[in-house]
Amino acid sequence: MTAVLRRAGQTLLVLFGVSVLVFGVFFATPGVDPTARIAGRNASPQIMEKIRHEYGFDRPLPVQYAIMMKKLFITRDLASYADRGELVVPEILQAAPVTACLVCGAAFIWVTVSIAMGTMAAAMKGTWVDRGLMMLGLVGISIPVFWLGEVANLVTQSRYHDTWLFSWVPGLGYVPFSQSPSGWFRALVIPWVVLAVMFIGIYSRVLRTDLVTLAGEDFMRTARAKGLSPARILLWHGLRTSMVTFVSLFGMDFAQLVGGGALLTEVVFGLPGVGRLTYRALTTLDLPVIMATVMYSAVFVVLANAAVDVIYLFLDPRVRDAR
Amino acid sequence: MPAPTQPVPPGPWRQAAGRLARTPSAMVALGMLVAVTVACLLAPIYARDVARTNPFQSTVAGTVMLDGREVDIMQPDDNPLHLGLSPIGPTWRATYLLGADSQGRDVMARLLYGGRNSLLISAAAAVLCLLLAATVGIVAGFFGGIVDTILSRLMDIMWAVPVYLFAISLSIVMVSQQMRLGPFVLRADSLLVPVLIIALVYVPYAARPIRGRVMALRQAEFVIAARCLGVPGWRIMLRDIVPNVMTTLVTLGPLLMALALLAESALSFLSLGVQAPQPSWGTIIQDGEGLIYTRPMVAVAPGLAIVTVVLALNILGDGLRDALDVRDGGRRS
Repeated sequence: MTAVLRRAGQTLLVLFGVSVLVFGVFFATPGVDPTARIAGRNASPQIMEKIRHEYGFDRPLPVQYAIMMKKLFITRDLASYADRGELVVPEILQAAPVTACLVCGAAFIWVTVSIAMGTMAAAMKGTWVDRGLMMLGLVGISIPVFWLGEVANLVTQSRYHDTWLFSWVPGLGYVPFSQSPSGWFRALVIPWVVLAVMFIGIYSRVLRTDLVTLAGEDFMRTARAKGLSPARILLWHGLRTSMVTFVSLFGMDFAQLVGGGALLTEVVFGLPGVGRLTYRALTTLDLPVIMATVMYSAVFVVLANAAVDVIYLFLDPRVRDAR
Repeated sequence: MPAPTQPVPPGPWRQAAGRLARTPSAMVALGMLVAVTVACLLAPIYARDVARTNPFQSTVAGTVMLDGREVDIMQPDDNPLHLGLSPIGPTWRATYLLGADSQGRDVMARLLYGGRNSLLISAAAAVLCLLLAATVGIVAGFFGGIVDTILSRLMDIMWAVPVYLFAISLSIVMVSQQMRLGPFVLRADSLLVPVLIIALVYVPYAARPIRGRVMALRQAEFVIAARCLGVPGWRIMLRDIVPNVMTTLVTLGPLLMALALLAESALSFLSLGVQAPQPSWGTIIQDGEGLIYTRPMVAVAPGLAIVTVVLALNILGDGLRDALDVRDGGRRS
């Protein structure tokens, strides 16, 4: 219990630090005027004056920070000036489910495929299958996701769209699940795969390394000495232990993606998620929106990591007893 | 009686270099990197003497001689539904080898010029990031205690912001306006902007393994021995810790450059990295985005260049890790 409380204290500290960092990047960078940034392009002096007063840019930094936090998390009335006073926080909440759908599907693909690839490579260590799979993983890590998305669009929307292979792919955009489950699925399959590719590369390689290292451990030798079949040793003893690293990696990446890390994929496929919201704000230099999305995502990442840590505390006796 | 002369065994670095040289994949990767770098360095010669174009000047109204015929650079669209002009496609000849972009500029020449910027930025960002991360990691790992706690927490905080979002935030602040830091003025279109941003966002990623290595070294016998002999702390740090951390740094180098190249292309793709008229592989992909269905080569070619270089860097990084026998460095991307 004390461990949980200590973790909660740490989390609060990190949350505070993250919010200060993001606030600082946007509003306390030396040599730039935050008022002009919030007002957007071609703002009148009256609006500038109003913003300066509203956000307290004529007052000291801690006050500005407090005002901003209040606008973001308590009153949630942070408004976009470039976009005619659109409220930012509801916009984010509206976009979040799209991002969640995208990331969950991709996560399902990358977890299943990378477990299969990593285990297979470890089982056939040193053979050409192992080398081939790991090289494939390395290629996956090396492809820029936005370019892969463009190429996928080129293939499925244009070059091979009229063949039986990709004629089912709908035009770019999003279909809500409530509107048409099959349309939702068809609109998201290609983005899922594209987003998953890099993570398949990372996870299969990490898993293989882990399994190969584990093979030298005492408990694995015991399992072999007991006469268990190699498949059972690898899957039951090895894979289960490797899941510890795997899950902690997964928690971090998943949180980062939901928090806006899927921006490039959303932009390329025209999915109206949090990332594309940020992107649209980028093109109009709409600072409140960008700051809000970054702040929300960072907060989400910190909380998700804390949750994973607490779950660990209960699951893994080594971590639990070490405290 | 003269002492028997013993052959001096090669040093650890030389041994590692030997191991690396015997790794075929690493050598192929190194060869690719050298080839791409040399090709990019020859960009002005290619543009002047082979392609005979100026890749920085818009030539929408121009024509080009192909097989003795004069051909418009902007051609009527071959798709009857689109009533517009498309730039000339790949000619597979010296001029417009890969076609032209929407402003009628030679894509191959821009690809080579763009490679200079992309490679320069990613290499500089990797070096700067390593310097920063080494400082943080060595100080945190060596002094431990409160210094370590503060630095580690700081790294945790930076790492909590998704890397690309962090880079985007910094870019939007720095790219839209020039910055004044005392006597230095950082222009918004300077190549230094993406270098600084990318180096900064990857510091936590690189600092963690360095700190871990230093903490392990602190318990090493030779460090304890030096301590017992009364060697001052800064001297232990410089003479005992730093040389032993070098292997970790060298292993991280190519991996960081690979990450930096990907980050640079992503930022440039979002118009937040290299600013026009300077090309980079990411900006060329962005130029080609609008032409993706009619003239896909504009976007596909720079992407292939990125994949090639990043893959080569990753393979080289793997080879270096095995050759130097570093276990705790750069395990994930």
